[in-house]
Amino acid sequence: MSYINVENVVKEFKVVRREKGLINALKSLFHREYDIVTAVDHISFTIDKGELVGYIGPNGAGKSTTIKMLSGILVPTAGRITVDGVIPHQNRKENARRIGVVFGQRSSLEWDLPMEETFDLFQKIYRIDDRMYKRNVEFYVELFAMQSFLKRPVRQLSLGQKMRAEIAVALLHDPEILYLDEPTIGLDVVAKNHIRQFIKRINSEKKITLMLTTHDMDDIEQICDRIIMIDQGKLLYDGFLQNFKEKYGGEYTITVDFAYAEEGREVDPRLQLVSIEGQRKVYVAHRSVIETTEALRYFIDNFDVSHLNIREADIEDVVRNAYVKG
Amino acid sequence: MRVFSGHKSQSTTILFFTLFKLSFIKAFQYRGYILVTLFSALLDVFVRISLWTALFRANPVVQNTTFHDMINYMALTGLLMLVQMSGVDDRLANRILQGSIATDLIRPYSLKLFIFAQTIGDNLAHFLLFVFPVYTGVLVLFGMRFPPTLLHGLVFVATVINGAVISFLYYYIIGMLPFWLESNWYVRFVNYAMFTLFAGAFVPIWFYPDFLIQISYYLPFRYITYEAVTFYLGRTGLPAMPAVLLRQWVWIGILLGLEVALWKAGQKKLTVYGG
Amino acid sequence: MHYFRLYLQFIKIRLTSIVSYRGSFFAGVIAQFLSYGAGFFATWLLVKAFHELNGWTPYEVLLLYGMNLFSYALAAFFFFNLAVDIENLVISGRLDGILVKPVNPFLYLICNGFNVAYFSHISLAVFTMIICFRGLGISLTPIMLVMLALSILGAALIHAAALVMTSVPAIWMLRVRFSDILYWGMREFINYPLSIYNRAVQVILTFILPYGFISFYPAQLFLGKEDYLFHPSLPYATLPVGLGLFFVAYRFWRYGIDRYQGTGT
Repeated sequence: MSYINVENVVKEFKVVRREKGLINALKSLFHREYDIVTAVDHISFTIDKGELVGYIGPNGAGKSTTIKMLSGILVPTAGRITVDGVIPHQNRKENARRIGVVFGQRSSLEWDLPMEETFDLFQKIYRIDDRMYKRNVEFYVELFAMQSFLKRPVRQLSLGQKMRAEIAVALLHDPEILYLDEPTIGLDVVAKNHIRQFIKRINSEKKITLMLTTHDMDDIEQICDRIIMIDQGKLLYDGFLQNFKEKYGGEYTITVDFAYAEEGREVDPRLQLVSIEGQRKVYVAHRSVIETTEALRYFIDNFDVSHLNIREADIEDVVRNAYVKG
Repeated sequence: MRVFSGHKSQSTTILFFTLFKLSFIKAFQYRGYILVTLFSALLDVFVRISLWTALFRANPVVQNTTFHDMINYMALTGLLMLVQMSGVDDRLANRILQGSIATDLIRPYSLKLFIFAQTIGDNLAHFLLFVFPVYTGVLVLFGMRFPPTLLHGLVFVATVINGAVISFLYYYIIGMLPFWLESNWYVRFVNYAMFTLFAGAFVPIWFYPDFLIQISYYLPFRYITYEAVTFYLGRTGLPAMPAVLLRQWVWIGILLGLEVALWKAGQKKLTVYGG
Repeated sequence: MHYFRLYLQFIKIRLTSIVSYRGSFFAGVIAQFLSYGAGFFATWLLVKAFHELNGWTPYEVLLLYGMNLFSYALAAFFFFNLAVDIENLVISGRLDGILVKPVNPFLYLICNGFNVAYFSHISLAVFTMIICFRGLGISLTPIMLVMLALSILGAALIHAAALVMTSVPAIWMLRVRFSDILYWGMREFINYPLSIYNRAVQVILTFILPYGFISFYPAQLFLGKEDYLFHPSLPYATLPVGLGLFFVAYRFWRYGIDRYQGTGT
């Protein structure tokens, strides 16, 4: 039996159907229809102690719903979840002591007060004894470099600072598992990088089992050992990052603005033409076939090019790819 | 007033009706909400009818007022909710508090007209869904009064229109306060107190002691619906008509001046301090 | 003990917040004072103009207001946040944030809801009640004071139960404001003697939504009236009714949270 077990889990929601217009609004006074939305559809996976797992998929794939079921907030419609032998929703409080949860798009910090006050509050909530509390506050203030903004009201902090504070607060009671729901959403590149470094260090230094949801491909590449990918509630991939990249990643698009209409000239067959828009042509290629540098050089050496743009595949492309390859 | 004469172009008219329709449709969105609101409006009326019944049990005429007078007063004041522009203040205040006022200022429409359209749409929906059925029900049940003369009726209409303008300007001014305040959630409590004591919202002012009545003449609240209703019921004679209309116009003038001055000051504050 | 320490922590946090918004805070206190005060005054003036309301003098009617406000403020002091703010908590996802903590969400929300503003309601209510007792020439004996305290405790539990129960639909994201009718609407009834309504309403407000026990029945312990309705023992029933109702409300709220998590359906 693994540390975290998810077996054939399903979660359905009932949603009222709303239609546009006055007539429909009037109609809905008397009669309304519901849709059953399946947010999570027969998903199974296991996670071992100390793993760092990226739980990925596009927006609305069912990532947050899964995290909520794992943390005991939501009860699965069908299937079974155990975390260290405990069913989260049946033993919500016991499970809660063992986990830390950070929801990226909402805050558990006290808006008008400095971080220190929220630390104090969490000590009371989790009944953390004074020694452990002091040690952890010192450790995380140091690790997350929070010294400079510890005394400022939370509302004045930058998004990156707030996210660091959120993660620190979720770790004060020494949880064995940390769930991070979109920890880098809305952050700038520098702040994203900081958060990624911190996440890696928590996992390696504190040996905390870590599961993070994201739809940012860079998050996945830079921190995850293992990937679980879902879309529309269904599991699409579960395995090592390396295999994942080989299987689905490595695709990129090159957009080329030619200086002259290059009628009739053959382009290297390893670059697949997907669209033409006047003098702008878009090609798709794969790293295993032709490296990006080689592709760039090929265009520059052989054509009169006024503009070149390379875009790495994002999560939507990867998911599309996964469907194609099955 | 710009709002009421301001259908400057066809696009303004279209904008007005689109907003109006949107507010109107929104009110129909939630079935439960409608049923609940309707029911609570019924309860409210039931409590007040019970109250007046009990009060008039000992004496059928108190201060020249009968039970039937009171029912008509209550229903009329209730129906005139249509011209009470409460909601204008929150709409404007929220724009200022959330900072979207800055974008409103650069959009090609009159903010006043915008808010007016939304409020009227909302009011009309509420009127049709709750106010009209409940109070016409009451009037049918207990007997509806008509103005003593046609002229009383015409004066009623004129004072109601003036009252609507006063109401709109009052709430618009209240809505501007967040230019200077950090929040405004408590303003509605002050409004409640003012409308209870000086507008005859629940108890007609004529039951009050003289000192309160005297104060009420120096505040705008009684000129919104109270004066109109007393004309309708024939409690105010026609000789008082010019004085009442004049006072309403004076209040419109005062509020309009205040509104323009505050708006200028507020805009200045916005541009100087960046909101 | 755990929740008591948590409560103290939240009190500290709320008080610190108030300091940073003290302008609004004081304006709010004054405005609420004005609003309730105006309502009281208007009712008193009205009954005074008619001399009496179904045998109740102006001060007697005002005492109903005072007891109602006192018990409401006491209930709201602990439960307003839990009951009225729950919809926001659900929409913003903060309820999820509470459910991942090892706490009882009900107690947590009570602690979190510490709200100083209700001291203004309570002081106005006490002020009103003192005026009433003085105006009526009643001096309270120690036994009457104990009775008054127990009645107000019971009445507060009734208010609390109503607040808690009406919040459950909001947990389920039903946009229906049951609170509007069952609570805020019905609250108007009990500002006047129950005996002015017809029999059906009296039955409802005594046996189904027992708001009559908030002020109408217990007030008669002090006023020496015999406006009993149904049974002369009812003025003593406020505390037991409050305790029973609150227990039911708490169970219903827990059921509400269970269903939010997806078990209760």
